[in-house]
Amino acid sequence: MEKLKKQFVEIFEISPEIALDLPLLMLMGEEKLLIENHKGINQFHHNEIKIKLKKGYLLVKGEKLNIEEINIDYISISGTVSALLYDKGKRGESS
Amino acid sequence: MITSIIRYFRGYLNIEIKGNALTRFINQMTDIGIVIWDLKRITDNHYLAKIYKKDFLKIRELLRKRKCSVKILTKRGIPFCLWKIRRRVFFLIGIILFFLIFYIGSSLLLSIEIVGLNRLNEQEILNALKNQGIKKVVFKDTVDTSEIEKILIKKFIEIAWVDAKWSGTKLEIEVIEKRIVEDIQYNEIVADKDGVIKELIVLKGLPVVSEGDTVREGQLIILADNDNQDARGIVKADVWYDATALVQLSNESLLKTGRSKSFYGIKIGSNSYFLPETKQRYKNYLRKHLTKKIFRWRNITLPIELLKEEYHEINLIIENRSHELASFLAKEKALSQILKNLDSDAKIISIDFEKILNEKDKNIQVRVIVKVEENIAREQE
Repeated sequence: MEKLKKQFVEIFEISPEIALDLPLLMLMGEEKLLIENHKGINQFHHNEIKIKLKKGYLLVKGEKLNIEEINIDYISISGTVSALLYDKGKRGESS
Repeated sequence: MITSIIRYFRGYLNIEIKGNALTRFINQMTDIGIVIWDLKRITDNHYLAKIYKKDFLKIRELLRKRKCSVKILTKRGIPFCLWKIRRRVFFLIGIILFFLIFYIGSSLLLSIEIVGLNRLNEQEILNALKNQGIKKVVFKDTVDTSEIEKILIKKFIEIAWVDAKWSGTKLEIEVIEKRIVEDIQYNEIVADKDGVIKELIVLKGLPVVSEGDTVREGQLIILADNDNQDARGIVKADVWYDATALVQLSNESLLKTGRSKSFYGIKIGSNSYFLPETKQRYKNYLRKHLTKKIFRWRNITLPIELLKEEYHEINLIIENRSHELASFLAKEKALSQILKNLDSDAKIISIDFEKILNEKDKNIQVRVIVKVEENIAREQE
């Protein structure tokens, strides 16, 4: 099924993040990070924010991290981002 | 910047979220479409956030299922301002009403005052005004003061002159009634002043004196033919007026130098205190003492007064006048004394001066004699 979807997207050249519900990240320098298609936040610390995605998690590391805005469509994070990390962690991981 | 303005217009809340597993709570909030911004973490169980005003009710629904507490810290934005204003709407209405009443009250005619009535009845005039629509509690705009004047003069023949004017809400009508001239019979004409008769024009009656005679004040000039008739005539006579004036050869005058000092103080009861205590005074000075009561209401006064003392430095100037100047000044002085008392129809024939120089007392005395031709007839019963 997933494969079919991918092929469909490739053939008709549709934006994959919409069709496949993939996360879209936009990083402006190191101050601002915009994440579309998220599934909510999992952890929120000053130096680490864990965002739930469709598959796994996105770990944002940095300093003085704040959630500037969060709504159903996107999360925008401000602060000093030092690392972005995909975590294919299991559901059972502690939050 | 623009988003913050939009948020301000829509109205937002600063909220404090406390509880366990707050990230899940926030996810639940976003899931139902709540927009959260400026999310700050204080501790794991304590977040600060901002949400729109309209979203708060949705949160309350969520809170029923969870053990979280949400507290509103501050309310920001236009809707809250409006709400505050709406709360004071009655206060505003009161203010507007006050000014409205004030304005209407001041544009109404509230009283009519008529002055200068002797023989006319005030009620009659008021009734006449009422017929023209001028009465109490009527808008001032509908009342034309010049119209009132015309109406009253037309209606009452006894009125000679009317002036209607506004004094606030009061219509002041000033009336001058016509004076009834009584027909008095004058049986004789006497001299009003001492003088030499130059011209005697008898209109009615018999002359007692003739032209060229000297008459004293009160002397009979023309007598009526009989008791029931008038005596009328014009008596032109030369009348002498004299006046003397004295002018010092040296004149002392005070001149302010322009330098002045002021001291301020306070008077409590009968004691007065000045600041500074030691007053520096000029050699020659004029002192001006001013007091001002601080509190005055009806007849109640506080026994406290503000004091101000002004010291103006003055110079004494001694001016020596020449004989010509002194005599000129004296002449002027004397002449003005005479002219002040002259009738308007008097004709000045000659002016003589007599100068007396008084060396010892250093002054000049001038006597002015003015010869005037005027009518000295005075009617007498």
